[in-house]
This record gives sequence, C-alpha cells and structure tokens, in this order.
Amino acid sequence: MTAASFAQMALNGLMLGVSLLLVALGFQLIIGVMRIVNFAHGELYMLGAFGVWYLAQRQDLNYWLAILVSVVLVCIVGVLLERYFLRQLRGRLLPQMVITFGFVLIFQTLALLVFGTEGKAVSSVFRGAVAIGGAKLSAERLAVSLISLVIAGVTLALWRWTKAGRAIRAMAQEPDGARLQGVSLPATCRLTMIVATALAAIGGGLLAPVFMVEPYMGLPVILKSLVVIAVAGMGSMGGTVIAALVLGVVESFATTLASSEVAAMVYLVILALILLLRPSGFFGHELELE
Amino acid sequence: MARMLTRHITIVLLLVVMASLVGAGCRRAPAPTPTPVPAKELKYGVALALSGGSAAITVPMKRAFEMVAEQIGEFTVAGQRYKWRIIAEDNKYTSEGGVTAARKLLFEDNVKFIHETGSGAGLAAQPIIEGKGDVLFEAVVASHDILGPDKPRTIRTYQSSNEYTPGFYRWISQNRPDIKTMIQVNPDDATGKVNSQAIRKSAEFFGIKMLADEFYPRDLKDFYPLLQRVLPKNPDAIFLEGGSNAAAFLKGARELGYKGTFITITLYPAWVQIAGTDVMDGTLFSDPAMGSPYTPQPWNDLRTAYLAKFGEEPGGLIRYPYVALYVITEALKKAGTVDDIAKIMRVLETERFETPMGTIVLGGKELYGVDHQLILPSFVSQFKDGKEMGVGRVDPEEVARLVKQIFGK
Repeated sequence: MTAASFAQMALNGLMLGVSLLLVALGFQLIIGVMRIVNFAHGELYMLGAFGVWYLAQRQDLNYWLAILVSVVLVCIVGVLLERYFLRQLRGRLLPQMVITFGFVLIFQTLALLVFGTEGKAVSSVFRGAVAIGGAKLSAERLAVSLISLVIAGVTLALWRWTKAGRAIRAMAQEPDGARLQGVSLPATCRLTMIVATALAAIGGGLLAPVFMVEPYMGLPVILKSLVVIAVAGMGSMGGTVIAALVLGVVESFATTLASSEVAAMVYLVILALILLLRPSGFFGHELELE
Repeated sequence: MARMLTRHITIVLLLVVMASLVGAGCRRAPAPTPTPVPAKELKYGVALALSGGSAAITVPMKRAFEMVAEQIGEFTVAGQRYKWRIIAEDNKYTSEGGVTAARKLLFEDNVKFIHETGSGAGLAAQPIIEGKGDVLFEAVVASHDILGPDKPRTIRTYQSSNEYTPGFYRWISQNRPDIKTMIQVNPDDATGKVNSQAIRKSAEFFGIKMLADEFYPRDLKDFYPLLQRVLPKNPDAIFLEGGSNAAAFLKGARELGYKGTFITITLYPAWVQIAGTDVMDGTLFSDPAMGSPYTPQPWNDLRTAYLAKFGEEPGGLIRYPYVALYVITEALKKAGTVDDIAKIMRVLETERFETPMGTIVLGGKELYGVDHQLILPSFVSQFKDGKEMGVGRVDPEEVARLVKQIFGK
C-alpha cells in the first residue's frame, strides 16, 4: 500500500462519514432529548433530497435557495410528526418502533406515488477533481463534506453555547430537573425536532447531486446512523461526529482492502459488539427511554 | 249477369290485393345477425420490479407486455378466439417478492402463463410455478439454473451472458484493439455471479485479459471505496452492471480521472441522466440500440410507440415481452390448445416460430439439457455523441455456434 492509496482511502472514508454526519446528529438529538427512536428520520433526509430535486431541477430554482425552501417545507412535516405522533410515544419503545417504521413505509410510498420509481439526478454544482496529498477527490464531494462539517460545527456551537442549546442539553440529561428549572418539555421537543429535521433535510439536499435521489434512500442511512449513535453513546453530539468519521474510514478501508460485501457486514458486527460490550458507547451513556 | 260478374271480378281483385298486402306484411324477416362472441381473455401474469432501484428498467417491460398484447390483439386457437390480458405484480426483484407475486398470480388470478424478471425472484418462484403442474413459466432470468430437464415447463426469453457474450466480445477483440484488459464489476447476487463467469470466459477466449472480478451490494450508494479498488489497476475497459444507482460508479470514475471505456449490458436512460452524456460517451453495451438499423424493425417500432405513449426511452429490455408474447401466441396456435401445457412445450421445443421480427427457435440443449432457451440475435451498440447507435450484430445461427464453441461441454 502506498502513501497515496492510504491517503485516498482515508479521505474517501472521511467523506463517507461526513455524508452520514448531519442525519446522525439529528437522530442523536431526537433519541437523546426526546427519548424516541424515530426510524422515519431517514425519510426526512429523503424528502429533503426530493425537495431540492423538484425545486432545482423542475422549477429551475437556484440550488442553494432550493435547499433553503426544501428545509423549511420538511421542517413543517417534522413539526407535525412530532406534535401529533412522536410526542405520544415518549418512553414506549415498541410503539415507537412500530409507528415510526410505519411512517417509513408511508413516506416511501408517497414518494413513489408522487415522484415515481426512477432515480432522479440533481445537476452538479461543483465540477472537476482536486488533488490532496496524492489522493484525488471530486470537487463536489469535497465541497459537500466541508459544508457539512461547517453546519455540524455550528450545530455543536449552538448546542454548547446558546440558551436554547443549554435547555436542550438539560432536557437530555435530566428531564425532571430541567422542568423544575422552567424548561418546557413540549417547546424543547419541538425545537429539537426542528433542528433535527433541518439537519436531515440539509443533508439530503447537499447529497442530492452526489447520489441518486430515490424513495428508498432514507432507510439505509438511518440504519447506519443507529450504529454511529451506538458507538458514540446517547447524548454525545461531539461523540457522534467522531463516530461517524471513524466508521466512514473503517468502511472505506474494508471496501478497498477486502470487498464491498465485507464492508456491508462491518457495520452490523460493530453494532453487535458495541451493544454487547459497551452499551453506553464511547462518549455518552446508555439509552434510557424514561 | 254483368253486374254479378263485375261484382265477382271486383271481389277477386280485392282478394288478390289483400293477399298481396298480407303477403308483403308477412315477408320473411331477415335472419338475425349473429352477435359476435367476444374473445376469451387469456391471462398472462407478469411479475417484475415495479418499485425500488430496478424498477427503472422493468416498468418499461411491464408496459411493453401490455402494448404487445394489444398489438397482437385477438388470435384463434382451435376455433376459439382469445386475447391476452396482462396482470402485473411487483416482485421487488427479490426472492421473497418473486414468491409472493407468483402465489398471487397463480392462486388468486389463476394464470396459466407467468413471467418473472430477476434471478433471485425467478429461482425462488420456480418450484411453486413448476409444482403447480399446469403453468408455463417464461423467465427473464440471468441465472442458468432456471433451465434444466427437471424444469419441464420453463422457457427463457432472456439472452443470458452465455448467449450474448461470445458475439459481443468477439466484436470487441476484432474492432477495439485498444481494449486488452478489463475489470468487471457486478452486483453480488445470483445475476451478478452468473454474468461474471460468462463474461470472463468469453472475454478471455477472445484474448482480453480480465484483471479482476468485483462485486458490490446492489443497493450501494457510495462507490468511491470500490473505485479505489478498481482504478489503480488501470484497466482498458470496465464492465459494470447494476441498477440506476450504479451511475454513481461511472460518474465517480470519470471524476477520478478514468479515461478508459465503459462496457455494460443495458444502457439505462437513468444512467445517462444521472452520470451525464459526457461520462457515458463511448460506452459499449450488448443490448440492441433501439432505433438503429441493426435492430429488428418491429422492436424499433415498439420503441417509437412507447416513446409516443410515455414520453421516455424504454430501454432495450422491451424486446423480451415482444418475443415472449409472439412466440407463445404462435405456439398456442400450433399446439391447438391453451390448456395443455405439455403439448405447448413440445411445440416450443420442436417448431420454428414466424414472428414479425423473423424466425425464432428455442435451443440450448447442449448447455442446459433442454431446448428451452430462445435464441435471438446478439448485438453490439455504443453510446456516442448523446445517442445510442448499433455497431454490430450476430445472427442467431452464429450465436448458437459460438455458444457451443465457448461454453459447450
């Protein structure tokens, strides 16, 4: 293995990890704060991607404006989902899984009916390739990765240094104590859902030109995000960033050195090991629904 | 006396007139026009992917079945008129989907003719279909396990890698001396594994060195790590098969500086849309280029009709519904039955079938143990300057000879 090929694998892996990052962060917020395992979160990512496709490709809207509008629209869906369904599921694992999986099917079917079965392409915004230390990356992948990292950084900063972020953290760490301090659970859950949905929709919009947009694109992402959160541990946003990047690198090396089939198994093996040996993950705590 | 005579004559005349009038009124009513007996519906069950990544290539097949059924219209078998009724079910291109779709078609819709697309779906559904005993199974399935003496009621319309690769790679070896090395990239399912064996054998028979066989999960989205395995070997050509998501592989390869030729089986319109015409320029593929003079005119006409009706390119797979329905219709007529599947199978094995695209026979006994493989021409096509064009064609007799030469035991 040459230094250049090592650098290529590492960079591929980091980009793979970043492609999961925004969805995984949003998923972490919902699980950590709202205590809800929302499998339909991946479908918000899918809706974000379709929103950008429809606005940018069909309505000729500027790509960045399309992302903004798509995020707003998907956030409305997220807020309604939280208000009328997720809020009732707090602390009830089996109903959470059943109902949110039901929403996975509903959103997928709606997307199939509205947008059809064929994959959709969003025109590339950035073109060409960039060489970094012997490795070659597409300019598009690099730009998307950098933008995703900036957004993740802003989210972490808001989480850490703003009043709203502190309220969300308080609710995540100690809901009863937070309530006693005047933090409203419904308002905090609503804000959390908005942030989480926005992250998923932005992720979908940024990746729309990179991957194909199709109705089934959400579920594989959320399953991988589950592994990311298991590795990171509940409630750790910084840990989620690290876990996403590390898992992306592991997948890249596994694919290149072994095969895609082996890499597909790697996630499941890691999830099993973490749940058995370190259920709290490396940076957070174990999932407690209530 | 005269007055009496006049009176008699008058009465006689009146009687004659009355008789004439009554006779006219009693004129025989014309025989009633017989009401035409409507043609009986003959159900053809079609199980293929109507959702998921593969739907982009199989939904046109479903539509083609319906269009060809309409084109064939009513036909007569043993004095009874029939017309095809296509009943479609979603097999999701998976084993479970294939079984579910087959059960619905066989036991709820009671079809006697059933089609499955996809190796996983077809192979899983086959025991149920064959087990029913009175159903003809027509398969568009890459896996050769679909055929055999123990599957007496199965025929394959799909030109598998055994049938198309010999002529295709012979053309490449003769016309593209720049292609001396290849890497093939296939989905890690039954279809992909079967294709990879035939492609390697045919390519190497004609002097093209296969540097590696790579496989990937069919629903893979991010191909960069896989590209990292493939591109450093610098092959002259990369063969790729997959659904519309595989366009990301092609796009990524060009982004990373790959200049060689792409080869595939079917040039999906979705690939051109997603990867772009620049990326796809120069791609060689083994499906007929619809609209090309190398392609049988009836298939070109079907494509034109499909474009007019649906406003999008159908892709080359629509030829399979065409040949399947025409050949089976002719077989029913020759057999004189729509129910005796054993008799219909004997006809399929032994007769020649005249269709608008020419004569079609079934063969393959030396490879599969039964003559249940439709033998069609094989094609070489290229995507150039934004268009598909035919560049070569091998006629069925030559196809059969090459298949025997390379794969025959």
